[in-house]
Amino acid sequence: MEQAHSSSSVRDFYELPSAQEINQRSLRIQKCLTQLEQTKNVKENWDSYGAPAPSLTAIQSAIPLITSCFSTDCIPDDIGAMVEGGITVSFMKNNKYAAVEFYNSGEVVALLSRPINSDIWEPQMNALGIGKLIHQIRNFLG
Amino acid sequence: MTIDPDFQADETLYRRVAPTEYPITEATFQKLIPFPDCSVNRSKYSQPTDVLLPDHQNYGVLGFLVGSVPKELGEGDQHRQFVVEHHPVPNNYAHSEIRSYQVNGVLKEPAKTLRTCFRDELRKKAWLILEPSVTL
Repeated sequence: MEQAHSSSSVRDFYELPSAQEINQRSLRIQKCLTQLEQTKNVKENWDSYGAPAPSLTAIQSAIPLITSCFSTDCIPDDIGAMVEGGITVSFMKNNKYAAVEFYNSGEVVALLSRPINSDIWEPQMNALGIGKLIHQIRNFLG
Repeated sequence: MTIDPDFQADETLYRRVAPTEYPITEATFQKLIPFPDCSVNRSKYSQPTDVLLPDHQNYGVLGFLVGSVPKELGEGDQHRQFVVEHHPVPNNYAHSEIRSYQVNGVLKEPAKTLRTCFRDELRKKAWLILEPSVTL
């Protein structure tokens, strides 16, 4: 009992996550990796309205963002093919929605959705830009 | 076929959504909504599940109101207007399309930011009428 109390104090002091939090986090990361893998198997016309399959360019350009998210507490809630052609990486928390869209053309668009005048821009996707983008998403989601 | 151009703001538009490995939630709507021109069915002449005919029975159905379609977005040569138009086709009188028209300047491809903006606006008002029933 004394030992449990002691380890809990250490965890609180260093703000370490609980075993349950680590487990949930692992499950979310696993889901992201599975979803990312599935985007490679999406065929042309997957939505039956003629949607293009995600290009390798779109998938590969999303990987640095997704893996960078894994080292933060900002894990995507959904990754999948978008009907526009490309893949969407979505985040949802506190009823707020954010997304980064990787178009087949190689263009990338970030979205912080607001009731009026959402923030929409083309982010830099180098290491610095990705770090800044994740920071913006985390701040937005709260 | 006679075209009925009269769309009320509270008329619902239906669009089928593909089955996926994971449940459709609000976090997945954005990727399922296209930029115009896109096909929909109008509720004045159809039921939601009619978009599944004839061979998409395992698909889901997304709905949104005509009044939720942004009337215009962007500025300069990205200024676009959006209109819902009735385009009946054989075996589907309810078939309609959301069309986009450039307002100013030389005809230009809509910017990706504009495309994302339109889809975000529609996503906020869309709702899932029917969950897809089978995984891919």
